[in-house]
Amino acid sequence: MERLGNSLARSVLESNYFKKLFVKTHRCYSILIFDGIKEYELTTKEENDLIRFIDLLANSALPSARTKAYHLISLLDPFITDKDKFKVISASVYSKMGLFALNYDSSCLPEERRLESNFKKYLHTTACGKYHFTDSQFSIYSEMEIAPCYSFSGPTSLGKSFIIKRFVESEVIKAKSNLVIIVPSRALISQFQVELNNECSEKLKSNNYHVVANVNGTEDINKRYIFILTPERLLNLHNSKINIDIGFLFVDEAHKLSEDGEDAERSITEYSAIDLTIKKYPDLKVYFSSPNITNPEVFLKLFNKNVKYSKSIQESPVAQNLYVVDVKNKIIKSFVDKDELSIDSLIMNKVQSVDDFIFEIGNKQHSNMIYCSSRDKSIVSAYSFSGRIIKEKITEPLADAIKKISSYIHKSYYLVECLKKGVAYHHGQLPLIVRNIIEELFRNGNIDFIFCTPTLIEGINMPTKNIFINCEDKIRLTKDKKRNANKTLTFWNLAGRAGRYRKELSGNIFCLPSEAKNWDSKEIFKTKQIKLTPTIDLKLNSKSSVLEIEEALKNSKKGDVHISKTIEYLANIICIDTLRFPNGFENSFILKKFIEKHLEEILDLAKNRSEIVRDISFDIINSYKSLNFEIQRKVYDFVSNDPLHNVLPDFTYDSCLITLKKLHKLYNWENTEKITPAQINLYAFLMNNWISGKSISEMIGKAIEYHKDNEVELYMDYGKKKPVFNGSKEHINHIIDNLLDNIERKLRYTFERYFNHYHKVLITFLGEEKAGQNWAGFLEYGSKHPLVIAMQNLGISRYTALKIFNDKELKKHLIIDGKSKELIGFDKPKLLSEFKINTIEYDEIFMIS
Amino acid sequence: MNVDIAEQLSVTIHCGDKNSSGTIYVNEGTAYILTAKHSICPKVINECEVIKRECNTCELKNSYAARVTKISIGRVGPDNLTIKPKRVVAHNNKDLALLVFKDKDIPSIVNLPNIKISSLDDINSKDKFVTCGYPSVAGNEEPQPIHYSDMSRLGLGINFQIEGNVISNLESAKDNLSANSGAGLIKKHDSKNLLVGIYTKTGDISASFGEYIDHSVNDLLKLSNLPLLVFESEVNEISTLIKNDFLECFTKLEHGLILGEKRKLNLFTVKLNGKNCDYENLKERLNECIRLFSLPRKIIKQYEEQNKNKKAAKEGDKFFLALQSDHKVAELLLQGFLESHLNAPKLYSFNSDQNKPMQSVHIKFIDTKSCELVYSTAKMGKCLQSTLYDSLNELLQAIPNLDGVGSLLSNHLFDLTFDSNEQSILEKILLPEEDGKPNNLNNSFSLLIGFDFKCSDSIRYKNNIEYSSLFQGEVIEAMRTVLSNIKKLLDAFNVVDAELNCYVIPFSDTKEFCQSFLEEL
Repeated sequence: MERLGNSLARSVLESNYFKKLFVKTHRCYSILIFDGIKEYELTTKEENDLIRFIDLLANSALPSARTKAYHLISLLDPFITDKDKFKVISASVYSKMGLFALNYDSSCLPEERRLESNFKKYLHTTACGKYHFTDSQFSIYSEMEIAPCYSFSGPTSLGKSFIIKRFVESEVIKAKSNLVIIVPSRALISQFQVELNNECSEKLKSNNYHVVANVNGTEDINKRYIFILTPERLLNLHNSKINIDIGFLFVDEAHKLSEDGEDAERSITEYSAIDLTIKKYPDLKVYFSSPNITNPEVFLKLFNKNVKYSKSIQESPVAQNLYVVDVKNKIIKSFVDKDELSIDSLIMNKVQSVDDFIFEIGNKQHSNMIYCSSRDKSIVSAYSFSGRIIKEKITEPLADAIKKISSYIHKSYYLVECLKKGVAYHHGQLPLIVRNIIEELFRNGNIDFIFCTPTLIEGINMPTKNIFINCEDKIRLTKDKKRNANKTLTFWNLAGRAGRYRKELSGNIFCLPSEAKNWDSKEIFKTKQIKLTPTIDLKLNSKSSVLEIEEALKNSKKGDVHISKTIEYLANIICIDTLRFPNGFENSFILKKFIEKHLEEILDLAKNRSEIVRDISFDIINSYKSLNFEIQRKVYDFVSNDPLHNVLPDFTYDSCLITLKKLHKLYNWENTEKITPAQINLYAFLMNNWISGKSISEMIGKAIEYHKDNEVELYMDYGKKKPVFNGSKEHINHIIDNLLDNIERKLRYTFERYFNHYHKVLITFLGEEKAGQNWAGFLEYGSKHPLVIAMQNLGISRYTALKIFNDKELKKHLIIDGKSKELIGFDKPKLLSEFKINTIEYDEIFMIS
Repeated sequence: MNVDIAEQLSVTIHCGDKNSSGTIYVNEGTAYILTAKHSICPKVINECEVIKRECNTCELKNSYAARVTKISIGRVGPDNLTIKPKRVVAHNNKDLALLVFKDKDIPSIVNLPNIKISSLDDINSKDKFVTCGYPSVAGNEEPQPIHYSDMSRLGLGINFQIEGNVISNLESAKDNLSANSGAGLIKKHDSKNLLVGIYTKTGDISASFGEYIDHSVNDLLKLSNLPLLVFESEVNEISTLIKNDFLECFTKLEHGLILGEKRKLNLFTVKLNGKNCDYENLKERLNECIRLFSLPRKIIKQYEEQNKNKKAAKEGDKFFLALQSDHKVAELLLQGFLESHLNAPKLYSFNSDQNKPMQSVHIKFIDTKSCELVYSTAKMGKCLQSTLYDSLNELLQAIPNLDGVGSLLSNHLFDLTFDSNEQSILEKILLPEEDGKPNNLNNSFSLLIGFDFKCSDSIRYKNNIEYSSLFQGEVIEAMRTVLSNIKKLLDAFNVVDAELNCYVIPFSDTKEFCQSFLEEL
């Protein structure tokens, strides 16, 4: 027979009486959330019975039962938190789930339970002794510790990065290996870097570890490194002359290997970066972490690792309540597992619009996140929403932030206006400094409402009490669709932000209609965990994609068949692998898949097509794998004709303009990047300012001036409106947002890749020393001065690095190695004494260990 | 041994052009053939892969329906019979089906070795397994023993490694093992025949996949009105071990003393080692009980696997020492007696300030339909008479005010497995009902008294055997005197219409015993 604990829990979950009590409790909680009315309807018998049910559920090994027990505790908490019996049962549930960070009082528990709680707390203590793992984290960590590779998944609140950080910390203590952590965005690099430096500063120092965000090829073999990189930067690791060994590779947010559509290209880049790393370091241990998926082993399978080292977790340390609100028809539905409950609330009589609803609910809690599908929507929604808040309530931290952002960007910036009302927006093109300020304000409760884009769901650690999700195509299912893995994953990754572990027991998710979209299918609310297929498998399992690959390999001119960038990229990788593994295709992860699927004819085509680049070195090809082979060839041949003549000149505005025009033609940007020759002037102007070390505010000032002086037409609302710049706040903000977008996307991403590739070609012919300057680095760091770049590698922002660089007195506090003449650190106390407290510079230097 | 069992229970399954394997489950007259759903489905597995149809969730309906007339089972029993199943019972979420024997075929297999199901929860990382299916490498004609290790849960199924020497012999495992699906995964065990699940798929790098058998298979059989599979529980085995080891620390004294109607007087002495009580052995056992009685089995197992057991035991001792209760050693002893001697697992433990003087409630099954709650309390004192008197008196005062039980349930209980009768009794007791009917369970009481006892000097000169008998006699005599001295209270206790189990144990010095036990922790 089954163990009593599990069988009883199953009976509880099936019991109609239990279901009735759950619904009753849930309704009381919902009315409190919506109407602020504390109506507790449970009788003493019902309350006692429910507590017994909770005890039975919490004692089982079934994740669904334990989760339900915790959910009920969170629902009862606002009503009976002071009752002794609640203190006992809640402490018992926290102990069963290992939620030691809640600092519950175990002294109220019966002796054996107290013993259990203490036992677990002791054993769940992390290597540094400062933290405790939850049950879920412990089960993962203890398996990871002894596994040669590992992949795990779990809900957003599981604390995946916490597990990775603790693992890294234990390796730092051992002081043996260099480690690499791949994160999906630059914002996450910064977060990880700051957190690791703060949490493990002593251990990092004593074991000579350096947390760095870039690979520059000059790494010291006597030091140890933790590289926190995006997939693109990991590829750079393979292109640089790095001669240190890597022992561990962590792939955070590994579901990015399964993106489809426009994001598929990055998936393939990530796949490629991991593939190269595994092949380069045969003893490398690889770990994957991903959100709510049922099959985390899929990533191990992708790289031919043993699938047994994997675990999928359902349990979460925060409970969530999901409501779907139909403002127009005044209906609120709540979704609990597979059940749909109607909520009769007075709030629906008060609200006329979605914003009314957000305002009414959000006013009761000071932690509200509103999901918007695009940058523009987040800005417009936040600005218009802030208009309904009449009274400014500028706290001291808000006043500081307003001052900083006004000077860093512009005083008329919408964000500054919003902050005065306790509202903010957050999107991927905001400079990192500004994003950090906003995130900090939100975490500390200084911002009540934050309107944000999907950037925030990509792993940034910023949970909220309430999340309002505006319906849009990326996360909704149409009526006829029952499932879509990526949409479900994105939805729950986003919804998973609701609930701040240690601050509260539960979070609320409000799904709202948008102007044109409705939540037609409710299936997405009912399935939290999905099965994921990596992009590579997705393409290889699809007949049409295989056909496309075949076409891409047959005919580079593409003919009648439309070939997407992703397919072209994939086709390139297949070709490259036929060159990498000429004597055994089965040694390539991707070619092996073709062999297994009996698609040998594709491999023959790939072999033929790879002839175009056969004589080009892997270093060049790997530096831009998705680049069309004909262009690879063209650039290679072009540079080979007269390499010395093609070396990039010293950087000036004129040389920049000339070079951009040259690359525009050489790489065919008109077609590949949709950049017109006329736009090159604008980019040269921007690039010059950026690399010359102009501050963002200066660049904005210059851009506004330029638009004013030349009465430039603005391209607004996707070209529907083209007004002449009139100096209004709206127009100024349009210029600011465009400028920030161009810096992030065009300069630091698109151009950076081309310049990197071009420089690789030069190195092939001239060698590292004669190949001249690599402008890719200038673009990445926004400076051509090695000292400014070196300061950024120490974790200082471009803004502060430039301030120090331009001030003789400040510069004195930098520590330069006498022998190598390289920057090795700075005198923190002296540098701090030079800056005013509460300035960007001071805060930043203060944070760096 | 295990290979032999696996071979005897293995069968071939033929369905259309497909060949695969199956395994016979036979236990006390109940018999099935277990195999994979995809082994008896008319479709080719590759076709399903193309349309992303997965075998575990396939309902074997419409064009996927498994037809008994198309299924042929070969190599059945010692006579290698070929038979057809009477019925197919397919699992909804596993690539697993049970084929029901026709009555006429049962005699041919009843003499096969009986086998039980081993729960996946009882599998350790070091366990090894064997199948003896009919894979294509042997031309589907000969049973091929294949050995596995490293079994672990993977999604809804299991994953395991084919042992190194096997895989090197098989060259291309995927092709060669193609008909191994359905072969029973037998756990290697010295004395037991245990089936964990079936083999379903060969993966890469010598990893294979399978389905495990759990309660859901019995749920399915229940729905189909078929007899259930019998599970072996290693947790219960461990509990039995604890019980036996605990009781072995004591000697039960036979006596003619009468405590009263419905009262049982259980006189024990700590086992003698020569002429001295073996307190060290008892302390060692009690020490083990701290952890075993308070931690769920799952956690103990987890610690064992991570080699953190010693660390856990050490910390457990520390926490036990920190407990405030004055009678914690006596309570530990009583729990040992109730679990081992009375066979009454702990149901609830009270908070220290709750329902005084009761410390815990155990459950005792009377027969297949009824049980009673055992309220318990334990004390140690210098004087037998005063300790017993005080305890009985306190009990007498407390009984009228017992207001049912409302505390947290015991950790230990949830790990145990019970037969279906016991389980339904427990469900009735533990699951609240809306109509709020009282449980109407009988109560009984248990008391443990430890007291200081010194035997007369003269018997110490006797040889060991005689000493033991005289020693016991003196204990009984001391008890007899006390009973007659507290007769008034015992008579007053007759008002309690419930059983009382009284465990009485002499110690040379209770205080010293408790202190030294705690100090040694």
